[in-house]
Amino acid sequence: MSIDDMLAKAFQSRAFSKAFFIVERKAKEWLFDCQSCGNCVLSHTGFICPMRCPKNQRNGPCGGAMNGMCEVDMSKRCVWDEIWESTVQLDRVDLLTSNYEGPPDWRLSGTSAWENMVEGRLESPSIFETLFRKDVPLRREVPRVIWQIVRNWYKRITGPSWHRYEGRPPL
Amino acid sequence: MKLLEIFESGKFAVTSEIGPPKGVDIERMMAEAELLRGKVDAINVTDQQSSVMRLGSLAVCHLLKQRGLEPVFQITCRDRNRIALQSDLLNAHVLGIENVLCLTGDYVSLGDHPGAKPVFDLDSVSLLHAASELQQGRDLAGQKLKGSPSFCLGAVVTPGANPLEPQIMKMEKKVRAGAQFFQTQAVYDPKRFEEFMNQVKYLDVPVMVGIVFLKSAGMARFMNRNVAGVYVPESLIDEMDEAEDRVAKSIEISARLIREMKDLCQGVHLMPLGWEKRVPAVLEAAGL
Repeated sequence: MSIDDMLAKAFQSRAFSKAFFIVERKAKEWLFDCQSCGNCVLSHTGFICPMRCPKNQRNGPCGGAMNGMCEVDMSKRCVWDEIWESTVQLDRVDLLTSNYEGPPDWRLSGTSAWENMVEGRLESPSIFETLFRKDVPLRREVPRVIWQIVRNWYKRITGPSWHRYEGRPPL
Repeated sequence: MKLLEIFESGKFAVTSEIGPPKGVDIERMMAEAELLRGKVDAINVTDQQSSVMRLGSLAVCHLLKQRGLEPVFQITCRDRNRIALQSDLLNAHVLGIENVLCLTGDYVSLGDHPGAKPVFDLDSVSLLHAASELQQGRDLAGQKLKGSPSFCLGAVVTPGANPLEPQIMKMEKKVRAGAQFFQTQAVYDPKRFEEFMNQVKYLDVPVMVGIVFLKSAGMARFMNRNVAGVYVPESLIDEMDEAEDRVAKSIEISARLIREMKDLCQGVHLMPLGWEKRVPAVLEAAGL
């Protein structure tokens, strides 16, 4: 029995499904500022969530970034700048370039991406296939991915303070 | 007429653009469009430029078409979801509009209705994909159409972006999604543009270099500070600063840039930003 089949069986239980989603959402919120779109492409985009981009750009930068900062909020880094940096560090540019990301299915917003993946509700390749590179031994790839996620997270929370920039919209 | 026919004939394509007014008084805009008659191959009509609510692009394209001018319909993902975008593409076809430029669009908070809900359901790549699907006789959901439209699909690219690699990656995705020509953000540095063109040679797609008329040294400095991917070299700023006749100098600079970059690309896209009157003079000085 593959891991997909096992999970699919477990997701039939509402209690498991709910508990799984709570853990998934909290973990991803904390690590990636996850927006719970339910159409997860994190493994293609260097573990930086593209839905954090104000324009929800899933295929590439919009061309509005100034010196790597977002045109909408000049105190923040362009999400695609982060994605590019992270994919280069992870050596996954080929995955980023070759994939056309279709528009998200908004019916899945606020649901578990893992469950959607297992149940076959997503068109993009399964996270299980792209989470770790196949051509590299797992014992090298797993620590590398974990290290990259920690690195991205640390970089984001230690980003520049809001008050130093004039561009922040009055909220 | 599709812009593609011009590229295929080997002619250097020229386009310019007009912006619909905020309101319904179209006299001035139509007069500006008339100035371009016979001088350019097609006229872009901007879609709520800078997120400022105005008269729509589709209606103005239709007016141009009625008067025998060739429009390029700019369509952005900012205000419409995938249902409305696909429907507007069909609308464009039945109104006889053949050239469509697919863009993501400026963000809502930069315009005059900053509190409006941003849509961005599709991005420029998936919009191109949707248009290609419509041409194949089906929509994004895979449903069959009764009669399919036919377009010449365009897209945009910023040659001066830093870093440039992700821009080129997206450009490649746009080509794969069906883009048949590209118009660029304003370019003032022919050397940088040459490097860019060498990097995208493998895509084998017509590129029209973007030219924004420099109105003053102040405008150049403003663009360097505030407009993404636009870099005006110091030498050009000095030239504008020292010029006695700013208009003549501006025309000279634009014409010189076109002449220098003419052999690198397949066309030029002029963005006069209110100086539509000077387009014929620039084209004449550039020998087009």
